[in-house]
Amino acid sequence: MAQLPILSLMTFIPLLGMFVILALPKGKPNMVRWASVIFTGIPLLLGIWLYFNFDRTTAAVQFVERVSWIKAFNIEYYMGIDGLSVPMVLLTVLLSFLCVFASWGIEKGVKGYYAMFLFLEAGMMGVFCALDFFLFFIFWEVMLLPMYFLIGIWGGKDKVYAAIKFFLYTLAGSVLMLLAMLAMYYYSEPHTFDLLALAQNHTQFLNKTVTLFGAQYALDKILWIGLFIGFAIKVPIWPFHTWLPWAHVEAPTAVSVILAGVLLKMGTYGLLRMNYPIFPEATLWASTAMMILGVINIIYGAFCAMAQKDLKKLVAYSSVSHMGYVIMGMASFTTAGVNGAVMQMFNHGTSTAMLFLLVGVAYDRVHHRWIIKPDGSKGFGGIASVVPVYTGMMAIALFASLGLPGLSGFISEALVFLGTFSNPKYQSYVVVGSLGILLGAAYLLWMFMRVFLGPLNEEHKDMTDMNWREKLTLLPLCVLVIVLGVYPMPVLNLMGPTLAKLLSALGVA
Amino acid sequence: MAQSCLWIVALPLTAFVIQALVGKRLPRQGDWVSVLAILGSFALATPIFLKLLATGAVHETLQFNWMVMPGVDAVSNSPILNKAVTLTVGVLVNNLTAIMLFMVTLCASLIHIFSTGYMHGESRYHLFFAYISLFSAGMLGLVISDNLLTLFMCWEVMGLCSYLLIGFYYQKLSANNASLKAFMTTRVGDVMFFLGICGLYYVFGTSNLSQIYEGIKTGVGSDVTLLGIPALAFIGFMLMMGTIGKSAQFPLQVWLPDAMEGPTPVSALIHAATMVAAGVFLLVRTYPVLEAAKVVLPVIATVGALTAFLAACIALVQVDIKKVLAYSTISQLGFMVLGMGVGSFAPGFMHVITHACFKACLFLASGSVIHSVHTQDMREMGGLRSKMPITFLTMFIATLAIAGVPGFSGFVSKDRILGDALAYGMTHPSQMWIPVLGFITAGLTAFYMFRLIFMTFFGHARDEHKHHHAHESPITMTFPLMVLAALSFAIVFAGPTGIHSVDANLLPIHWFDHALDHVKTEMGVQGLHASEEVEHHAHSLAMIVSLVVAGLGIFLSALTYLKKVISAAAFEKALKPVHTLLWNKYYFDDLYIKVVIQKLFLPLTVLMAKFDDKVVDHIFVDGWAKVAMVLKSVIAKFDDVVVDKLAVDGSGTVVSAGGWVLRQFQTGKVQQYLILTFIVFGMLLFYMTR
Repeated sequence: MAQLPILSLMTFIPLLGMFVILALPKGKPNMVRWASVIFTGIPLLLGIWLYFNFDRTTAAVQFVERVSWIKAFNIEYYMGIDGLSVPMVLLTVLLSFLCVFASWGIEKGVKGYYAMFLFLEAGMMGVFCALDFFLFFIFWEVMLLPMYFLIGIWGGKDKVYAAIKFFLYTLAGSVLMLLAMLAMYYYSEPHTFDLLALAQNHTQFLNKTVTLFGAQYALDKILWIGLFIGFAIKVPIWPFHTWLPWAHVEAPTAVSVILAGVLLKMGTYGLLRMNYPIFPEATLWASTAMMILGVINIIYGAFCAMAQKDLKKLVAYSSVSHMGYVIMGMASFTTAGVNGAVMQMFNHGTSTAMLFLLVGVAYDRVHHRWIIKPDGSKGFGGIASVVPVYTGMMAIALFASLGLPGLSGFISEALVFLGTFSNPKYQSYVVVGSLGILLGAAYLLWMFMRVFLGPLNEEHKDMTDMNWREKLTLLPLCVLVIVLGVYPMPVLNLMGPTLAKLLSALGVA
Repeated sequence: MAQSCLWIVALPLTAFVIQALVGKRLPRQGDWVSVLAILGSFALATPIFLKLLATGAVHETLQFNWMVMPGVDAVSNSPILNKAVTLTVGVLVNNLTAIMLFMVTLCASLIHIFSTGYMHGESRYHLFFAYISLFSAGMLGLVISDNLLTLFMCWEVMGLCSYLLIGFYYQKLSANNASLKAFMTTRVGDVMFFLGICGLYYVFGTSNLSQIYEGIKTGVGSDVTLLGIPALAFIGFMLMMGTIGKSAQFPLQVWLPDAMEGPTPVSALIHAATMVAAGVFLLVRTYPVLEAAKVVLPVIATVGALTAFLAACIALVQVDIKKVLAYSTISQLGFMVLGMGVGSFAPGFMHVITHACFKACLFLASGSVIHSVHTQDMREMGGLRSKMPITFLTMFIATLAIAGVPGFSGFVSKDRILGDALAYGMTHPSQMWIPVLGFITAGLTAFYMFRLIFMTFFGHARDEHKHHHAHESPITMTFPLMVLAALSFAIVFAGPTGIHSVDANLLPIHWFDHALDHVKTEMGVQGLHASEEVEHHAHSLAMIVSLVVAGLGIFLSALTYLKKVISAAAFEKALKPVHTLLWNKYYFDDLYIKVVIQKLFLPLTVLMAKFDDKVVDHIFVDGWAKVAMVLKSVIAKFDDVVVDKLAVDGSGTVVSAGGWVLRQFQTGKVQQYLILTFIVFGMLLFYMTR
């Protein structure tokens, strides 16, 4: 079994699925749906196998597949995972599988939709598995296309605008990443795209200068910034975040889930995969700036979420806020902080996925998402009495999201704060950032009160509660949120050694 | 023993899970599941408590690894702090735990039983029991936690239950507002409490209580600074803020009176006997840290004294029976906090226990009254003594306890706190106002509590109709009252009169003092700083003064509300401004809601969102508008043409999509957004080169 190219299988089975679906006869949407279940189900099963067979004692990359690809440029097909990628891989296969069910109600262009969706999964898997920068970049760009179409075709009212906005933002980041990648290739000796080799020889980027617009700059810092902006757009770090509310609001439910659950993590994953090990000196140099940006994300995102009248936009801005904790933990350079950050990447994936799925459930029934309608009247109100199960699920999701102890969000936030606070340099940032916990509770519970509690808004008295498909879609996430909130080790122990090595590498810089 | 503690928590937790999932379908909506679970916990807590009584001391710990994060040891002089991190969780059973476990399981059991009668026929009956089971698990978990992280988790779980139960009648707008207010207000304190835990972790490298006690004993942290102030002072203030939030102390007291929107058993269990006392329990558990911090204790004493007094004043003018009790709870919690502040460690903790029993009794009795007359307004009651003799008698006993009448439990603890406070005042003359305020409050307490009794049970019926329908409550409700009333006698905690006597060596009678003495040594608590002579003198004086003020309070109350010699209405008229001030709760609510939230906070969020939309977003959008227009036509076309085509010829899609991307690069659109990106780039360059 160890010889099986499991990562390639996980990446390319969805791609195969895409072709199979395109080849299916027209006019049989259910066949397409079940085919998608199979082609996302297999990677999920492989992912579960991976989870149990992943060696938690080492920081080395595992399940490596490595063949030379384009010899002239020393480009390799190099796949492998370590403790940083495994949680993200698992999150990807899980959410992709669940999203197939969440998309069941889509009637327009079913074949095209699921084909694009499988294509997207292939791209995401590739990003988290690739260890060759060139390969990484290809997957990164590949992923962009299906996302663009999924939003632009199956989205809401302003879908085209949102899709273009998403596309342009991300492409802008990609351009910088591309430039940085090429520069890294040419400045490395021997020329390579191998991320591990680049990290190994990170000193070769030191003490070199580059001339831009007639001024000289330190090479490693320029490259760091280039990559950082590329990834920051994805995270999204303020002020590169404005694509996010649009994309989330306009995208169909499942795509919002993938966007928030997986795509955002690619930004922070990239930072930890590239910026940290390849440019440790620059990372240290930029740490305070990252910390400031992290705190801005937390507070700014929370304030914006507070003012939203659209349920989905509120959840979207809450993502901005929650990704701020990831940045903060990463920039703390402490064991607890960095572990907390990666844990938060996973936990935010599950809790936000729940929130988006739940918003989708309501939207499917009442075809609006207004907390307060634009004309100032109530959008929902008191629906707890007609949809008790839905209310209960929403309560779990939002309490997880606001970091209630006993649910997963708390663990990661607590680790981030404990870690960051143990670094004397950043204690004041924690004090400011802790305001985010307060704001988080405020906007989520205020929303809960206005939507679910109080006297029933008669407009929605016929709203039906969740059906079995919806309940089962949410159940695995619900279980994860509770289990990891009580005992986080099942995920935490995946990442430990890798992150320890990552930090030590920074330490010797 | 520590093992059985885990079961004590696990039982109600299991009950919660059962109730939440299938409670509705069980016979009697599963109330017996919750009741049996908490009785089971009580049965398990009793042997621990009996062992304490028999041997004078219990101590056992249990630890598990909770989170393990590998790291590398000690790279000195590095900005990277990559030491391995292991967070443990576990159980710490000492005398404090044993007493708390017994008290909490007992009160909770009685309140569970009471609820089966009180909540009978309510909709969502099973959920009510689910929530109070979860709450009990939270409170018991908090009590047994050996570290502040799990303590904090349980603390928040209780906050959640409090939120859910205050908003139990979720279709009532006032209940929703009250639950949100309670959650948010306490969370202000919670966030700071968590910062305190972060601080402890920074200083001691652990959140384990025993390790922190050891650390304090060896002087760890005395020279560490944090954010420019001594670390222990920072930690102490943050822990204090946690208490202020949870125990509804000034200036975060606003949520507790509103919390009375919840069903009455909830008010008894959560908002009087246990959860709000958890704030004080936190002070007890972390007392060595507070002592080591030095500057914190005087502040705590000040907060406690002010809270006790200010809340008692408001209680004077309330007409809602539950609101009177709510303010009296705040006031009594103020006494406990005051006690902690002046170094009255054991009496402060004793007041937690005595108060839990008599206040639970008072609340349940009020619930019995409300259940019977269907109103909470005391002006519509009166003359209920004969109609509800058991309720009256038990409530009267509890009132004697809270008013500080000798022979009853409240006298024991309150008198000792006031004695210690007086000794503290004598040692620090500038702080003399603290005991003075304490004595005044004790008098006020006696006054307003007897006002409650007189208005409710004495005189003639002010509402004939309601009086006519009044009846004694069923046994499920009166039995808990009788047990709790029995626990309001002084003999339970000290000698028959409760007066601090010389025969303090009699273990069965003075079990409490013995248990606490032991804890003080174990934790390294110093307690009151006063010479023995001063202490002795203060206690003798305090007893006389507190007897006088309590007597005076009861006497004046009787004159006003029983004999009507003094006209309350005339007083109200004469002191109109004061009455208005009290009636409006010193305008704290208005300040917070109408000014801070509505005038500052909400406009700020709207402003931020506007800024995000109009400034941050539009800067980018305008720059890209041109590009967007071109792409818009492309995608519109794509929507029409390619989706159809996609269905026919899949591979064509990939090719055309790929070709489309390439075209974008070739037609030069890329340059336009590159320019924008470089603006941002330039900003970062500026940062880099400065």
